[in-house]
Amino acid sequence: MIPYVQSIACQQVPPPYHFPNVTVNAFIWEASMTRIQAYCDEYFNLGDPIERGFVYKAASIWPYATLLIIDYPEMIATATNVGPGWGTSYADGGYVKQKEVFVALPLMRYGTRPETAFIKSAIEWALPFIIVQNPMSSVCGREMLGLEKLLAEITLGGGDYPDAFSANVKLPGWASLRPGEVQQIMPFLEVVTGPATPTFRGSAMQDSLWTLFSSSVVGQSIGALGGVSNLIDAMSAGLTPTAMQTVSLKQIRDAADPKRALHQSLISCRSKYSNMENFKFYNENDVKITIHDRGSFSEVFRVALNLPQIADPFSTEDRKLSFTPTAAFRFNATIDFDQMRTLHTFPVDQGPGRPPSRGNDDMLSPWLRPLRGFFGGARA
Amino acid sequence: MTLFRESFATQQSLPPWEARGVQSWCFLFPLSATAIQRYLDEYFNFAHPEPAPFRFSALAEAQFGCLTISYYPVIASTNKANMLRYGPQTTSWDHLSYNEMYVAAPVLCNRVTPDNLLVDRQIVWIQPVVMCDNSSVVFATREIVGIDTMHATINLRPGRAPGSLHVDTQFSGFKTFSPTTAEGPLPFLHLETGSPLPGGLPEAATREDKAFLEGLFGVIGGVDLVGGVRPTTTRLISLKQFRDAYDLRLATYQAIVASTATHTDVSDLRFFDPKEVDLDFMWSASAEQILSSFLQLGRPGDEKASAPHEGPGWDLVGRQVKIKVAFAYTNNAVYDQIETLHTFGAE
Repeated sequence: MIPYVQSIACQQVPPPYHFPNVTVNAFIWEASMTRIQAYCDEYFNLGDPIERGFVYKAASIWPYATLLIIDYPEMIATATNVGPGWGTSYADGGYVKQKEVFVALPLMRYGTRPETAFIKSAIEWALPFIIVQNPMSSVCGREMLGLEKLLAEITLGGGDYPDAFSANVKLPGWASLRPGEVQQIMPFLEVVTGPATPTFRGSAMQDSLWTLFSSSVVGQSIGALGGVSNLIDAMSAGLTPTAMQTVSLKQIRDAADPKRALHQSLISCRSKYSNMENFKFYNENDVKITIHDRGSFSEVFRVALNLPQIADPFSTEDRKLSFTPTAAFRFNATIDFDQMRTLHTFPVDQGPGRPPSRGNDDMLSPWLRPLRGFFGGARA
Repeated sequence: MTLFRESFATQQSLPPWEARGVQSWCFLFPLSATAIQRYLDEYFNFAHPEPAPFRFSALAEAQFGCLTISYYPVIASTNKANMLRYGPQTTSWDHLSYNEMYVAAPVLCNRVTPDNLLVDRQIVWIQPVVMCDNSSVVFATREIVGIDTMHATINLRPGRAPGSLHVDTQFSGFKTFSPTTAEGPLPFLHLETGSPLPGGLPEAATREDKAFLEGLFGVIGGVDLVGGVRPTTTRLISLKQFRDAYDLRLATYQAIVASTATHTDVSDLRFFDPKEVDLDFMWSASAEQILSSFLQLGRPGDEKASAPHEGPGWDLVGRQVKIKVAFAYTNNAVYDQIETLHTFGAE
């Protein structure tokens, strides 16, 4: 390994990060398992399944996509083993504010060989896109962790009624795939809710999922569980996003031939939610999520939504599609982003006459990692 | 060949790139050979673990920086990979329009033979400061070529005098470093020119200026005022690197990459009086490393903010740079011939 040459223009503030007082708005809908599996096969299941020793599959036990819209009033870098190199630690240098929008898809990872079937199994989350409004955040996520981050305009606000929520996301894109189409900032996604429940406004409450939680017993349970998010994590085997272990494909392009990859690895990170409070449901029947299915945006919506292929890629029509989620809620929390790891490095072709680059693997299941630490194993 | 897995987030323009009708304003100023050499040693002349078979050094003939502000009304990729992925097989659809600001400097590149001889002398350019207002360009230049492009707001508009230019740039950063400082938009550069001169390049006013111009023209050689004051082909080098996700002090990949910019169809060449150019780099904690190391602009003392603007954020101290030559032109450009000169730590 070789030392990274640090500069301020590198724009990178290395994790881990601490995010206090975060507001999370979450929207859940049923996703297409076929589409998610196709995404896994394209970005995670590279090469021969037996040789790599694992396979990612859509989590059929939780066939839902989760849209998370997060407002971070403070993002603090807490790295102690790496500094910016100009006398001030990142943690003491200041903090960043940001809004973020992403879709999370649960995946199951299984070992594909008898000896890996157990030790490589895990639940992880794929994020087909992450939209942020902070330039440094976009660069950090893309270059360090291989996250699919894009820079955008995100406006969060209230709705037509008190205690409602709205989000408006605009993103650079191409309105169609016509020759000569010029990139522009275009509407990408809008979300509008009614007031948080209980409320006398909006649709009939009896039909809403939130009525289940309006009983005092269930409400108290949520409050108790929110205070012990580790317990939620343990009870739900990681399927509620209280400790979201993400997986992303980090790639490095060849400068001379950009179609060629010089490096491909799977990176995992943990977003751990604690101090969860102010948990409130929206009546999902009064939530409207609108996507703009056009031009260069079309691809990403087809990962989490069962949409037909666009018949005419040259069409400039702004196809606005609106739908209602299965559940919608919000809460406040503290999020810690840490435990970055290279799970698996894929061997890549190095050109004629040279052997493929050496692969590497650190894909031990989370429940076995403490044991490896006990017996003295170390990351290669 | 291992194929790069294209995705929604990587649908950036792939090289080669072709730009039409690029409007550029260039401002040349002296730089210290020590600062240039220090930059080269830090970013290119190290041994990680072995040195590259190239040696980069400051030019003996002239040391200058060229601040360039460019407006690209349209630039497109001529690489068909993106389009083919979506189906269309005709001409490209990924056209962009953006503003860019960078400081470049010419340096000497020699190949080092196994006998440690310096051969194949070549002038190449470095770009220690690059800002752009288009995120697709930022991602593409950083991730493919390895240029540390920063996202910024770049506002170009006519100045007070006829035919003049006014530029303000802002980037996200910290005014001061402290645990309670919030990151926000920070002014980085303010520039205003006078009107274009009716004649050509103005006479050097002093012996020092004359020496600077002679050095400058010695470097860029064969100055053709019709073909362009700058060389029609420039070779740029950059350090392309990616961090390890586990140990962030280390690089998973580190390489010296070279790319070529070819300028053609230069027109509308005009000069400005350098004495009428107001150029201020605004001092902030986040800008300090850039301003103090490469540009060697000293840390402000107790002077009050010399804000060229009123308004939020412009209460910073400006560090003025004296311009020696200022000119503008319109041209077409092709960016291609990208190659990896050396990969550090390759097996």
